[in-house]
Amino acid sequence: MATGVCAFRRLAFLSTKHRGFLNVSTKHRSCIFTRHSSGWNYLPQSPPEELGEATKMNLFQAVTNALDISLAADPTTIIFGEDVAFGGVFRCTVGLAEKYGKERVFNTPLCEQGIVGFGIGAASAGATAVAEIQFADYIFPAFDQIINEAAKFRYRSGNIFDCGKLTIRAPWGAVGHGALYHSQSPEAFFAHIPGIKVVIPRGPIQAKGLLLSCIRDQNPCIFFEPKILYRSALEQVPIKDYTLPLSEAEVLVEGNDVTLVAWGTQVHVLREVVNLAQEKLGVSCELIDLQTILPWDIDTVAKSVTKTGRLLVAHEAPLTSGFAAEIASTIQTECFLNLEAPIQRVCGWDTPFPHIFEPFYLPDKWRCLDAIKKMINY
Amino acid sequence: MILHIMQECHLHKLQKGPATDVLLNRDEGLKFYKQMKTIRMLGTILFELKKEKDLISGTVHTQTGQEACCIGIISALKLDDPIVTTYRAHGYGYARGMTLRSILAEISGRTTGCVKGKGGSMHIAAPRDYNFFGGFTILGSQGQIFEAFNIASLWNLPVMYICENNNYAISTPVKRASASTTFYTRGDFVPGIRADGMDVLAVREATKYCADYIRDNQGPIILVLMTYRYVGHSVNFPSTALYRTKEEEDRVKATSDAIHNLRDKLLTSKLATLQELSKIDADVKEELFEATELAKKDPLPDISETYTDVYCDSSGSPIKGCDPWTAYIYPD
Repeated sequence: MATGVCAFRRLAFLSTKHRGFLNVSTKHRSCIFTRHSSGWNYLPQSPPEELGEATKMNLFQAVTNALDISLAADPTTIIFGEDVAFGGVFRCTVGLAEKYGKERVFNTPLCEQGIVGFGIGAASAGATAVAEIQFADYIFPAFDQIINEAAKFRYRSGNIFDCGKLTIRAPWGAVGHGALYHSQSPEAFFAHIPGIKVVIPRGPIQAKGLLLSCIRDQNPCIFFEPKILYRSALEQVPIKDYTLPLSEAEVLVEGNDVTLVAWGTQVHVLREVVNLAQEKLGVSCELIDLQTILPWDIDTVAKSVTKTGRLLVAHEAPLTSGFAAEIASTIQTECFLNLEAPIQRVCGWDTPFPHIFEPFYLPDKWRCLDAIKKMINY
Repeated sequence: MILHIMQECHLHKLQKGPATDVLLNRDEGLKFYKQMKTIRMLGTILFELKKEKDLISGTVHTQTGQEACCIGIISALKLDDPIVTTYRAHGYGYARGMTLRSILAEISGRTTGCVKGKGGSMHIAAPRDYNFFGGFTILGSQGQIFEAFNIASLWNLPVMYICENNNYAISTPVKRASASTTFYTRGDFVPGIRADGMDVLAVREATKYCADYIRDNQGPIILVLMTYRYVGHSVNFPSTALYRTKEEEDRVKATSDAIHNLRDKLLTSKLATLQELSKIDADVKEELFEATELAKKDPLPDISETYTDVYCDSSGSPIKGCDPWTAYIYPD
């Protein structure tokens, strides 16, 4: 905790200097400066009854299970990336190489551009290719392959060729101690690229269903896995093969006054904000998990905002040009006359992802609550 | 007819190179002549067409001077050998069997183009059974090539990496940009070969040699073809005056032009007569003229093509139009 105290002191100085910008109320400081990304708890979800028997899995086990099902059901499925054969650094591919052979689950050199390039080739040739990028932060060397090749191959060839059987998985988001290069949330970069789909699950049930959807979708997909949830999110996951629809947001909590939109880890922060807002402000919030970032479910969000008149979007990635900007812009067009207050974006600050200041950087529940207050009092 | 190839190939990690005494029969000789003539003339036509307003949108990279490369390569491969190329690809598509009309229509963005007018000059592609994946994007040079050599070698992949070395990266001479210009050795552990890219028979032999090497399950190989681009990098940069001399160009044209080279061989070996070759010249001109006129009259794509083929189905959200009231939905 010594580091935490130290961080607190430095931040106290910062917050005096930039109080308006930081907007941190004295009362809540002790919560913000805990030295990890907690401040929220994972609320296990019950599996849909129609999906039958379920067993306890955390998020990485749900991913493994989805990959296992894909390997078993589709003989053309191959899984590859850095260290996937021994189980992957996050244990998402544990046991798969032993079960299906090193011809189908194999390691690649440390070369992200090569991993994706290889995946594009394999998918174009008919394989169901599941590439792992070890961290979302490492995806940038493959940016050109994803944007200029994967996303455009179908369009450019007038649908003669495509690499729709490609899925790229990558651990994503803050983890409490990841610092600059193991914490980033790069979804907005890829949201700018027609031709690919970008999907982020909030827990094990969604991880399995959405990942299987991505693998089977005939478009190249990027599947970002909130790495802090790999072990901390634990719930009963149906054991059978099932998919969940892409490009459909899910309304998790119904409410009347404010619409809250998030994806991945941030959904759990906002779930607590729903309770806080009710308890402290008497405000009823509607919580939406966007799930698919591209192409996103405009209808569900617009319908909700039509009802509530207020929208808050929160994500870990920096504020400027984050995906919240796209949502805000679209919703003000769609729901202009329904809006009661300016749309609020509560996001990471416009800085590199900080190491010891992570709790300060993240859009925690107090910052979100503060934004709700602003909207209600507008 | 047995003919002698003048230049021996340079070899890297190989004991014996391709044959220097090679067989050429009349039919193949005439076919090569016609194909190379077609690509040369296509290049001239494309530079002319670019001057016509609104006919060609965007740029066009012609293979003028480099004709022997694509023709020699394709002739030595089987139809089920897949080909992935750069944006300078018209000759590869044509030699693989694409019609001139489908190429010209693509360049001018017509529905009859090989990819419905969506790719343009740089991204032609043929139907799947041609195994011609077409022109890819080389956007910026990438060290990726060395990673590709690495994995191809580790996995013993059947890949032939071909470099048409025309000596210039747009305007930068190879010597100014590469500390080592012997590209056929740059694969290090991957064997390489350098052949005369201005002689269609040398290209054919070198490609055959590499293909045999690969079919013999020996892994990847690099083939560098030394060639020369007679014209600017693209129709948008027609002039070469800022980076090389006219003397240099004239010297190459006078001493190693690929079409003259083959023409001389056909005539001196009496495989063809002057009249026959002149007839081919006239035929090529006629065919290209017809294809160009047809392509010009072909319809432009419907606006809906702007938003089709982005995703495979209608599962995505609508694509936004120019105003808030317009949205396009993918057809089911």
